[in-house]
Amino acid sequence: MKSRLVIGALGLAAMGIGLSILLTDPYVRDPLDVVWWLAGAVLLHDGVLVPVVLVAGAALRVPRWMRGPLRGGLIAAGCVAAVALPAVLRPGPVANPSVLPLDYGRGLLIATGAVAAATAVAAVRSGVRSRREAAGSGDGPDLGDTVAVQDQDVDAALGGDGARGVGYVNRPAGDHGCAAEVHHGHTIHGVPQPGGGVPVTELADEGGDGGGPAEGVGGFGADTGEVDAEIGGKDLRGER
Amino acid sequence: MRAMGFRPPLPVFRGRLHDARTATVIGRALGAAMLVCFVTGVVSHYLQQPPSWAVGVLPTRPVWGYRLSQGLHVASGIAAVPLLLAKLWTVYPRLFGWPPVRSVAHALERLSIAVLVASALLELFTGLLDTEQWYPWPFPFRQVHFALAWVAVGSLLLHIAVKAPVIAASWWRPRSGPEPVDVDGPDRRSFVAAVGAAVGAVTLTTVGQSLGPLGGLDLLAPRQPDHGPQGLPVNRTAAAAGITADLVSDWRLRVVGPRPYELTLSELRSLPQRSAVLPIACVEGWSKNGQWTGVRIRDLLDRAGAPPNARVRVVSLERGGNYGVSELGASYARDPLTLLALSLGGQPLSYDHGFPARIIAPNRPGVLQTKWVTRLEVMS
Repeated sequence: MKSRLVIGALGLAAMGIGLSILLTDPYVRDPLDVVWWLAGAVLLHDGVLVPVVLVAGAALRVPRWMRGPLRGGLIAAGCVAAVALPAVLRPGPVANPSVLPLDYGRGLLIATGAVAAATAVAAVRSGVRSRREAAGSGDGPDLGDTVAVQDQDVDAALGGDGARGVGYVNRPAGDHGCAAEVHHGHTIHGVPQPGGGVPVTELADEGGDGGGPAEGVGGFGADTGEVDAEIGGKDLRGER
Repeated sequence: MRAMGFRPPLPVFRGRLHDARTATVIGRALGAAMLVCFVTGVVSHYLQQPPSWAVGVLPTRPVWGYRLSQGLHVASGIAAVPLLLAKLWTVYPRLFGWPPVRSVAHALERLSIAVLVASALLELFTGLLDTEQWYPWPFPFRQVHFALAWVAVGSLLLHIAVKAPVIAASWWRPRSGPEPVDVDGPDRRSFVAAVGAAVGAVTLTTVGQSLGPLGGLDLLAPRQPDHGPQGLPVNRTAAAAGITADLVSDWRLRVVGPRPYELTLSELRSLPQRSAVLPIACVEGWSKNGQWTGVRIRDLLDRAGAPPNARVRVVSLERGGNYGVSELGASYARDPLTLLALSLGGQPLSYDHGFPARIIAPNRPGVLQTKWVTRLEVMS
């Protein structure tokens, strides 16, 4: 308890130091400028970036074995984009040719491609492992389970109680209640099926031949990488 | 809470991993990154603007100290981007807790969280854009970045103090046993691995600007250590500083002290020359070693009869900007590696690197390695 009080007091003191610099430094002409930018940062993050990520996560429905690798690829690609976009978008001339000397759009594409390739490798490994386990336990249809990439409730996206239950698989309980068609992208074919017996999608079948998953995942990864880059872009563009 | 009757149509979160264990696992990595970033930032700040008592005793070893410290500052800031985004995603549902305020203490806690989130986001944003020399905001970068660093770390400490019991309870992986098994374990490990991969990706693609061996991978770094005149990047060019061939055609070094004197460039070159391999390490994170040759500042000061504990004001020919004058404390001025450099890599300095002469001192921010030196003034 005592150490908590000390840490808390240190924190308050540090905040006080920061505040006093903001209020007294002669170069900071209007501290309110900083306050507006602080508020803007929170609004854009909480009001735009996270909702977009949640909706994207809820909308992307993939077989369970693909979920981890795809989520990882999207997170990595999105973060690479967030770090790269200021260099891509920076307007105006630079001070001299040694500042921002590269083609950062090209760099971002290469980095995103590398992330997509790593995602594809991870997805293939995950698919093979999942298939082996399924074969071992005789629980074949498990391969066909679909889950949202972020496993995020669609309610969050739609912002209301009314949407509860739409297209959502609560993962631990995730039975075979949903069918998904990742191939055709954005439509959520996630409405619970009354019969409960339509689980095995094309994708599960594709797991059968070695080349299938790699191709599918690779294309998918590249696609979604772009989507994510755009998410990062909105955030950063907005903050200007 | 239902007794209150009204509950607005807030979003409902039934997804996983918005739990305390995930927040703790991501949060402690973020906390470590923020701490490294803060400490190295404060080091950089006080190396640039030392308090008067410290001017004479700033350490000059290791020679690569500032290079490491500022490289870490920028790298930890960039690594914090995925960590901060992941942490905020994890705790996002708490934003919609109802009722929004339960008590005065709860209101204060939420306010402190808002301060933490806002200052951390803006701190990373301004820092990242500064490495690209992009300043779209209406306030001065350096002062506000420094002030917000204190605010962010202060509100982080407060947050840790408030949440200490939760953090402690979630620090270790839940054990299987009598308690319910952690059903989210594999999913959480996958998520944490993904965030780790993102940290790796943003680090690998940028850190080469200060870490030579990874130079080939820095696709996204704002600087390339080899891009620039004489294979070294430049911040302020001769043109920007108003330096022309005319201006330096009758250049002389003036040394002001008990026995003042002047030297032409050829006289300087005929003095004993020393070489040192020292880094230029910029506050913006990039750094590179160079082999500098010139005259020791110590020798120049001895010749002027300067006392051993003298500080030196270094005056440049450059016009405008904030760095036309710098100060060498006694520890730098007496260091045998501190040079008035005349050449880089065996070639005379290019105009952009400070021709005819520049300061190069060990363990020092690049912005203080004054170029186009015209006068050294011994200060009492």
